[in-house]
Amino acid sequence: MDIKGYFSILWAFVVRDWQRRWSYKLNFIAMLLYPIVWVSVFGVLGRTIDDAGGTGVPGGFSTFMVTGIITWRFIRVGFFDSSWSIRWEQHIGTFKNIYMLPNHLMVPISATALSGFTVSMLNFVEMWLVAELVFGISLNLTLPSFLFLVLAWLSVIGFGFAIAGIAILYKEIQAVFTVIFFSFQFFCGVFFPVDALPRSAQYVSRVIPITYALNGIRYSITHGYIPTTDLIVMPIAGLIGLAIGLVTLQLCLKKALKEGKLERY
Amino acid sequence: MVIKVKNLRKEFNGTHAVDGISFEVKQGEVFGLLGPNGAGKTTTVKIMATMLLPDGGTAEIGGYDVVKHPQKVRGIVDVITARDKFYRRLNAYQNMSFFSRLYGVDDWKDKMENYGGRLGLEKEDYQKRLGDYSTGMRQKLNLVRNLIRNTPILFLDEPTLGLDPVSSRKFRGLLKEIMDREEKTVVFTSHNMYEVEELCERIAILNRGRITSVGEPGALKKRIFPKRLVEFRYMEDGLPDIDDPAIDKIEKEGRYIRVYLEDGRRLHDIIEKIMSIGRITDLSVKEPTLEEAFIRHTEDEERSDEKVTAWI
Ligand SMILES: Nc1ncnc2c1ncn2[C@@H]1O[C@H](COP(=O)(O)OP(=O)(O)OP(=O)(O)O)[C@@H](O)[C@H]1O
Ligand SMILES: [Mg+2]
Repeated sequence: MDIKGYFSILWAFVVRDWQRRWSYKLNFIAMLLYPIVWVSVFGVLGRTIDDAGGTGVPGGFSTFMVTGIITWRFIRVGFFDSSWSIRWEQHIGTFKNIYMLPNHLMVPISATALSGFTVSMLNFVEMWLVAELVFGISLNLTLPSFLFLVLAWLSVIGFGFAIAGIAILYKEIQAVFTVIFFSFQFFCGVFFPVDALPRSAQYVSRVIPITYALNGIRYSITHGYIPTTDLIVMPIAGLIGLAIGLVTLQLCLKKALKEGKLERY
Repeated sequence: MVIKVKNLRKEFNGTHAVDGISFEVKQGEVFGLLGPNGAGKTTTVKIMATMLLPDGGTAEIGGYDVVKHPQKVRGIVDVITARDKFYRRLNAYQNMSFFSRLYGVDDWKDKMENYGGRLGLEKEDYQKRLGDYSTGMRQKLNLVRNLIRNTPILFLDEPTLGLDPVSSRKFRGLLKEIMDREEKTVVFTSHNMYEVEELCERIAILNRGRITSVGEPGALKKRIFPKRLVEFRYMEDGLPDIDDPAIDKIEKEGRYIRVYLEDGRRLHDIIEKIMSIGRITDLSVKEPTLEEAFIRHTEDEERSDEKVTAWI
């Protein structure tokens, strides 16, 4: 399939998803308000701590918190969206129509993930504006630091694909991954520096790419550049994550096709 | 042959859902898979539609092997079932625009209104959310979705399930019209013999994962259930004097005489003989429906539990 064909399919998913979101009016408003509320809560919390003497985190704790929450919101959609969407599609019974196309199933799955990316982007812009305009926290957003953020997104999207595959076989699996993902909030330094964790927990932090993503983004804000370690780790983590995701998805699809679990019309 | 299925097998934890079936379907032919619940119809269709991997045997659709070239197969095949769904929160236009983009069809709106109109959908219906559609309306829109995509090969897996008899008949009428006009190659599954008899040019009877017979509906009825029954009112006492090697037995009940024929092909000769006796009224010939044929056939099979091999 050619690029034009792919964009046409991608566009179909983006339009469909936004139409569906818009059909739930209150949810739609909530979806727009959430990120603003989040940034505000953590912005004020950070500022209170700063006013009380701070924590010694470079750039101040309010900046630390706000970058943490913005990065987190940006990547969490990538982690959940493709798997959730596939399960949902199987559940409501439209999966068959998406499957019966002359494309690899990766085409609709990736289109779904990219459609989710538009939500990430919207939330990101909202939070960024609130941070800059309301809290006066400048994120010094440069193209390299934004690309770095996208890499972070890619590193989790791979896991998103893996969950999507496993979710085809085992419905309940998403709950497990939800728990795992939220434990990342603890390990990766979303709301507090990794240094504040016990030594043993810090070993766990080191193997999760999100830790490097957060560290890199924060560094680029306070120092104007991204540390070399993070610059090297992120693309590798992104590629490995994507590879693991694609292989897992492939294996799960094969198993589902054998067991008759792909499509239960 | 557009569809070639050879010795197809699929097992689910010990259940032989499909147990070595073979059949072929010609270009433009409407082929029926008839069988009771659990016979393996859906399993067969799913394998042919690349939704399920077979354990053994092969299926070739339009020259493409379903296991080796699944994407090619999906490019020429579409499946319609009674359980096909749309996005409930979106209206028909929004739904169709989504699917048409996936299919790469640009003039979907004209097509939708055109086909939909012929199926009895009104323009106002398209503004309604699919969640507010009745089962019948949704199934019409489902057919419209397929017509917009327009694949040369179509699998219909019990598409009228859940429709009331009137809607079901209408739906079959539309299918027939489309099949006649578009020269599509169709595999139609059902446990409703009437439906299959009405639509299909050739039928395979499937039971417990095996094809027990294949043929055109008429021939199938004759082969499985060759007997005919001629019934008439006879004004004389006693039995009429008719003699023919094709007659199995003659019965009398009140004024009614029943003549059972062993061989339905001799029907015309026998009727002539009966008419020549005189003093006869209310003559009727009872033909077995495919339903009777089908029930007898599967019952026989279950009773003897013999393996009946397909004769193709
Ligand atoms: N995914 C599956 N896992 C386990 N068993 C299955 C699966 N799919 C089908 N079967 C079994 O295979 C057999 C054939 O099922 P199939 O759905 O093909 O029958 P069918 O002819 O379509 O019946 P119906 O008229 O009820 O739709 C049944 O015994 C069924 O329980
Ligand atoms: Mg079935």
